[in-house]
Amino acid sequence: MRAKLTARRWIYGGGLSPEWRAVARLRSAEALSRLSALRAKARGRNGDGAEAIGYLLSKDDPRRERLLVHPAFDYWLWAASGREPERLFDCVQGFAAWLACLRGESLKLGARLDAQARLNLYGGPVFLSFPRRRAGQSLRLSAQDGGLRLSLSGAEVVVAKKLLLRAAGGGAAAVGEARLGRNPELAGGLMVERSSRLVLDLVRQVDPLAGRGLPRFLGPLEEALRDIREIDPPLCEELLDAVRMIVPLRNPDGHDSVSSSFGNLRGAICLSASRDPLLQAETLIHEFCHQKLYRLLAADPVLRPGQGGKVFYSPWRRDPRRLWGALLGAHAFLNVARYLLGLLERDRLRGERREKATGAVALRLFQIEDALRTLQFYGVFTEFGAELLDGMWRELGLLWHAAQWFDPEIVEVQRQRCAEHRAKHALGATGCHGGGGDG
Amino acid sequence: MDSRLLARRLERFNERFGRGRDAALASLLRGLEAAGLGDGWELGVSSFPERSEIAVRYRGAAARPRPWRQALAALFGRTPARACSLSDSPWPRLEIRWDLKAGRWTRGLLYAGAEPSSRRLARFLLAVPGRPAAALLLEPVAWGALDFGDSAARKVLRELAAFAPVRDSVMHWDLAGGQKRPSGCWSLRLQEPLPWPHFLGLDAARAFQERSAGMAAAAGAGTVCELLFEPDRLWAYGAG
Repeated sequence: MRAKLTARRWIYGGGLSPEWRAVARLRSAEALSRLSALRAKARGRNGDGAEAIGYLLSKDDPRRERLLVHPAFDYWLWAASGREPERLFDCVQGFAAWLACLRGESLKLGARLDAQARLNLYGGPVFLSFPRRRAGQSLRLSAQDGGLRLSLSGAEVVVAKKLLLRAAGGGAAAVGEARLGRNPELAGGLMVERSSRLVLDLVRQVDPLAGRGLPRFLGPLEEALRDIREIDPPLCEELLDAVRMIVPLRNPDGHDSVSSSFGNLRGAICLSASRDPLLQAETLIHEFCHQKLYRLLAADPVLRPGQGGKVFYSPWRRDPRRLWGALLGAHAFLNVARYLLGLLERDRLRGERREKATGAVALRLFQIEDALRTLQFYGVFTEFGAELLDGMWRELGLLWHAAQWFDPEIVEVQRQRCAEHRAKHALGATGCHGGGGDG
Repeated sequence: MDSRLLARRLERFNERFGRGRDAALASLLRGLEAAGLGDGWELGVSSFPERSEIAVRYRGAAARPRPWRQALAALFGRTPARACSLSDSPWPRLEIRWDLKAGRWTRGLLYAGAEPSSRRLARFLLAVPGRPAAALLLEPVAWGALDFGDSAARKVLRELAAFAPVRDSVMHWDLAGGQKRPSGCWSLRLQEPLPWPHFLGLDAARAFQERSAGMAAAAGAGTVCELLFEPDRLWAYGAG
């Protein structure tokens, strides 16, 4: 069943409305369908994996719903359905074990420690680390009454429910010969993941945040989330609902910020550390908006199929980009600009920071306008997609109204900056790239 | 909107329509700050070009009694004899009209409790400088129940309602000696806030046309949620 869609709540934050939840359910339904397809595959090859999948499929409840859309599960589904399914297939036992612990149900499964002698309870923040000599060893795990018992050759580890669910974030507690670790969490339950096998398989430049690295990473992010909550509460609600994991990235070239989202790790934002909460807030909003549009695709394709190949001038890049990229950019920067305007209107930025943010807003508005123009010229949209585009134009208009108090000199500098970029990379006044509009 | 955003909006209106009497505006802003009230402010703008009046209205969460009375004293120079209700209600708790050019308040409204129920009727104390406080009663009525004898007004309001759906209307009654008399004022509440730039483009905003560029400048991307029709002017209230 297609959800009924309201354009404005997909342009800006609309909170956890029935429409938001209906679209979220499309994603969990898709995950369930893929999981069911994998069970048949697993039966032939991986007995314990098939049993774990059977448990995950056995009962529908809110806890399972949350697990199905967890970013780690998203990646696992992608990997397990791919060309080398055996490589990560046994991670599914970790998901099943965590779900059984949350439910307080009984579950017995065979599992295996990974190459780092760890067992991750995927979907949750906890993991068990064993001595290195145990790497790759098989074990029997038994979940009961919210706790866990692990039986390995010559050892047994029992983790009580209380410890499992309340272990200190960022720390580790000894349990027998293992150590129970818990990933640190930001406010709202956002987990910081640096070391699980599934995430490290996909994200190559993960920053382990040794020593003081962790508090330096967490502090500005906490402040950023507080600010987003204050300035744009509905957007913050959506962000904390959809984003479950933050993956810290290295920044070897010393850029201001490095960030990314992956199409097969939905619900995770990867970003580098920064001392500046404002920069972190912009990055969180930007990446979340990309994920939000991808989430929307489950309900409506927005652009009619058949337009994926052609590329156009992008005001944000030197190289040509697809129409979908223009839409992602316009959407994300509308939200970032609105957020910065919210801070400026409330006098939250002073002096040089105020001037810099003013310039950033003006720049974004010119860039958004250029991108919307290209979308309008060349895109063919679904009915909802046309409403979305129309709505984005109107919201841009309102942002220009809000920005009319800006120092005209600052605005003019940014206008010229955009004009120069266009002169360099676009084909005249068209939306085509100067190097050739066809892909 | 919160008090900080409200202060910004007031500064902009003052720049455009006041005479830059910043000391007077600062006095109003100090009073607002003294009230220590958080989110829940609305700004009202009058179409009457001469006096450049604005209104600030507070409909936030119920404040604690002591700072509330202190705030009233700061704003009005005295605490009204009758204590106002602090119960949760959909009505604004406080409204002050301020003349930007003269730099003084021209009217105050205090929510004084409701009878028989807070959602059906609201009783206010109306204070005007130099006159004793009077009682005002506000009564919501269905939008469709209003009869506009003047066909031009009916057409404009119907077009407005088609563009920005109306939640309801509110009749304003003067109360004197226990008698309820029409005050000549009524308001129209929208279902969803309407951005000022969009409102200014409508025929219903014609009263603001003379100053529409200035209005667009001062209001920015703020919103309109209620229109108040007085015999000689139109007020537009909103947030954001």
